[in-house]
Amino acid sequence: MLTQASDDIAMLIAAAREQRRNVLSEPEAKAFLRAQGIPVPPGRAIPTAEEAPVVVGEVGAPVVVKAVAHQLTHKTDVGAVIFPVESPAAAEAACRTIAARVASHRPDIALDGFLVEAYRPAQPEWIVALRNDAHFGPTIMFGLGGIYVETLRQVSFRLAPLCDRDIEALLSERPAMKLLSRARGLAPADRGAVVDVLRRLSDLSQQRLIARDISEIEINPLAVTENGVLALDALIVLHP
Amino acid sequence: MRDITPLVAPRSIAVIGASANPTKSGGVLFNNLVKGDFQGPLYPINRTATQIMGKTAYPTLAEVPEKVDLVYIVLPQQHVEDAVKQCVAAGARAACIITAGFSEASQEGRGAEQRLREIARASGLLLAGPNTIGMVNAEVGMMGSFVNFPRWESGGVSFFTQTGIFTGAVMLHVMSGTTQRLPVGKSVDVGNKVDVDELDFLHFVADDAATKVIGLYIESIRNPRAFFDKAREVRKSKPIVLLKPGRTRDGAKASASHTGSLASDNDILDGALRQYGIARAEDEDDFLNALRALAMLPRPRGKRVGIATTSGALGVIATDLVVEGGLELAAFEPATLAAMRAILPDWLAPANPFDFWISIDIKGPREAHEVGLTALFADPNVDLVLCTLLAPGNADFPEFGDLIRRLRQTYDKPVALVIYGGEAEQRWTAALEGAGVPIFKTTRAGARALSLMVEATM
Repeated sequence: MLTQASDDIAMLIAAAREQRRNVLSEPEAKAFLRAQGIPVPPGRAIPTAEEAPVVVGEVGAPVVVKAVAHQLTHKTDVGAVIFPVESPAAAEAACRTIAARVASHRPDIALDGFLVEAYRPAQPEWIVALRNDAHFGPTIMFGLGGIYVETLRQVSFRLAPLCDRDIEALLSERPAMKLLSRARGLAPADRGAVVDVLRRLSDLSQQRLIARDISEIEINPLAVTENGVLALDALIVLHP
Repeated sequence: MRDITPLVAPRSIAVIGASANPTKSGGVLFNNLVKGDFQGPLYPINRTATQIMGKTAYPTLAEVPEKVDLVYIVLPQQHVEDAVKQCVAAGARAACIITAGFSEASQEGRGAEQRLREIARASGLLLAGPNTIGMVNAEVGMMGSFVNFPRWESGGVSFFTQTGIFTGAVMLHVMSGTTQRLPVGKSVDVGNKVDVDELDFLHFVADDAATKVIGLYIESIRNPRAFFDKAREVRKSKPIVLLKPGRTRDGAKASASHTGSLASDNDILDGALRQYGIARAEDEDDFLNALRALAMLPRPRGKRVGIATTSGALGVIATDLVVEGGLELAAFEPATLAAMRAILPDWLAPANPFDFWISIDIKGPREAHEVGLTALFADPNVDLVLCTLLAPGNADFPEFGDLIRRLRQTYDKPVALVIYGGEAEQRWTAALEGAGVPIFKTTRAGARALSLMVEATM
């Protein structure tokens, strides 16, 4: 299983290197996470808008529709994410809207297609990341994610690998992390599933292939529900 | 791992640039080494003098009759590199460059410093500085600094600093103290840190029997992984407090990911320090207070604080600070509450914080303090004690010092004491000199010291 996953990531990395890019696309990153046992929403990437209704049929409405382009790392900034999309026809229309928005905001970017996934809300949104820091080596970050992550800075770092005590401390360091325990109006969170994601990233940090080629694996947002977690978006950056 | 003993605890010292001139750094430094009763031979290196302060002078290092452990270099910047080469040629084992004007000053200085590093690395010479106030080690009588410290005593706190004059300011402050003095026995200032670094220092203090507590002021960690691994081992017996400024420096960088933008060195360091159990002080006051608490007190067994106060307001302030500092308020045992009730009026129920001002009216200051504080110290749920006491008029009593000494010895718990009140404050402070009870100027300072103590030891 692990070897298989390593082979897959090796292939993804090799393909990206060949295309002279150091960012894996969201579908590529999610394929890797899925292989590592980190759940992602059901869905798939499609090359053209016409195929969107088929995916809606597969995963069921509502869905979220996103642009796929490895240069486009902050998709919401250009309106390249639309949700919730309630019907097959609306999904196809959403693809066309996204294509138009990207063409007008970022004419330099060529779309590789669209990602259509089952829509899963996250409240709040969390961020988890593995980052191979040039000075400190592999580090793990956890905190409040979403688009306000840099404004609120409710995140904490630890040097990888993490022991259970490190993970426990990481999950309770910032005030916002109280939302992980219980909070009014929020569903109870599966804390154990978050611990599991952190453990998997910590294990990954110790693999040679990951340390050698990958600069960052970022899951943002990570949805934490009553019975598990879902990586709603993911980014993998390679060392230049 | 290399041994920096020749630098920190040398058996013999030469000073290039030593003179009898008390207005020059080289004169003051040599004078301090002589006055400090350095235990080994001292060799002033001076082209013209035959004797300096009763010690035979030599025109060059090569003419000194032995290979010295440590050479202080106190020369104008342009002569430093040549002096370092002389150290290598003469077989010296370590050198400490006092001279400033290197990487901290200019691009040329940066180049000159890089050449010094290369000489050190190629030869194995242990190099401290440049741009340092020097080094002090009370155990071997080495007062190797151009700062005039009024007195010197050995002690269990060992400093490692990467700064120019800041170390001098802090050490002068510490050494000038007459009461509540921080017991610093060693201070190694490596200035611009051209060679010897914090990891070398951790290896040294790990095996140094005199070191009980470690204070680090550093601007960067050269090899974070090795440093933290060693720190984790050392802190088990010798707690570490670190002061590293630049907490608010904007670490934001353009990045493809949010993580990349968020991952400032400061934020990663902050996480790593928590992970490895190194207390991080916010400023020089915090730093010295935490070290004083660690040097004077036993290790806490938990993080539950019992607060005793004779001011309701100070009790609430203390509560805020304790909780904000990551500590908890202790829940008192029924026996504790019963003992406290005995000195309170019926209408007032004891709680944590325990405010017993009214007991002074009812029972008098001696009995109020004795019964109230004994109950608090004795409670098994109290791991740490924070006392904010007022010492004016009717709260004052002559046996205060004896009472606190007895409580400190009997219960062997960490206690931070804050005293408010003019003349009595000084008397109470004097009565506790040498009692192993740190006294702080403010509730914040006391609460912070306890928090940092827990971070450094648990």
